[in-house]
Amino acid sequence: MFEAKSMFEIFQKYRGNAIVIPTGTSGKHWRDISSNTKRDAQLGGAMGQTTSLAFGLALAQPDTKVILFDSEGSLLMNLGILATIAGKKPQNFYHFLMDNEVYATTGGQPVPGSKKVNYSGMAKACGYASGHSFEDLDKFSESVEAILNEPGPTFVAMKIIPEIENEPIGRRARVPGRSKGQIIKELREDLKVSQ
Amino acid sequence: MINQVDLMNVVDKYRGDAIVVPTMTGTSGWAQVTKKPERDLPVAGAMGKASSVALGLALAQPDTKVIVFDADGSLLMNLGSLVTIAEKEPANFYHFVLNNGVYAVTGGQPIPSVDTISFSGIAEAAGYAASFEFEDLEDFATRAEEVFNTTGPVFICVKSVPEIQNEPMARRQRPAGVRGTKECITDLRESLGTS
Repeated sequence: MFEAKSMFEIFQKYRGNAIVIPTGTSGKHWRDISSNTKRDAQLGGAMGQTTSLAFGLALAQPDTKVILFDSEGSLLMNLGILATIAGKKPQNFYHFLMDNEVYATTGGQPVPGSKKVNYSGMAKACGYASGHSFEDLDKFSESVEAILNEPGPTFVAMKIIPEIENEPIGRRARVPGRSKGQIIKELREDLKVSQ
Repeated sequence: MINQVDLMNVVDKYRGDAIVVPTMTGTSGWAQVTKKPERDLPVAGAMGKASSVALGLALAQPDTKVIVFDADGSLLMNLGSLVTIAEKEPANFYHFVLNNGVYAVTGGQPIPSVDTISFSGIAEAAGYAASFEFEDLEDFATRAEEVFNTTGPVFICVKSVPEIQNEPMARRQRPAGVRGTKECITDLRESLGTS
């Protein structure tokens, strides 16, 4: 297992002009690391559905890489999307999975199958162009550039150290940042698509 | 490709006292075959939920085999249930997927990623104890005993002949032998001796 923050620091070097969509508790670090925030879309929240949203963006912007940092508890709520993505074969879609084996947002309850599931195997069984798995940051660091040069859809499963939140949801401080409306507006402007 | 009624006739030979949960097109097929309707629980309309209903039955009745006749389009609507089933390790769980590649009930539209998807590969990646794939009736008939002697959860993907329905839904008749859900539940409870 490795830290999401360290992983994002390495990934940042190769990000280029890609649209990046972080999700979940681990995704919060991306905001402090990104050097191209206009192309970041923190549109998580609807658990499992951010995968479909990122997929839609990839279809709409075929010349732009779309890089999703998904979470395993979320993906399991919409697992059939893997087949939909594989069927459409978006070459610009990079599906990273931050697998921390728990529902971190709700207190760290274990995710079903956390010790058994082979997520990249599952993506390949659906028909993703390629699948990778990383448990070690050094290996990730050596491979990430080449992975982002592969034609997608590509799946990258990573074992990430959980950052469990135990504070009751109503008492949690709101993470400062752009509203979803603002994010969508700025992304549209940057992509030069009309309202 | 295997005709579903032929497949079900073979399954029926090894059925014993098993509870059988058919869904979608499989419901009418199984109605023609079953000799113990009091041990059947068809999930006729809740597309995708047969696997979850059957898991609940398998957990509640650990000494009784539970056989599901699921379908590919249905399973994709609840694909995450594979991981939940694998996690719970129900030794008495036999999960057939009639893989006809189409949404037969709604006119034969192809399922997503029909050319690339491997359902048994997905089940293996999810952590099922065993998985089989059959394209040929004779092959299945030869190995059916082995399938039912394998400790579950067992996944059996069967390439099956699509039985496409094109009649508008409102004009369709309930197929012969298909009983209502309430009646099925009452009969199954009586047969199992549960209150």
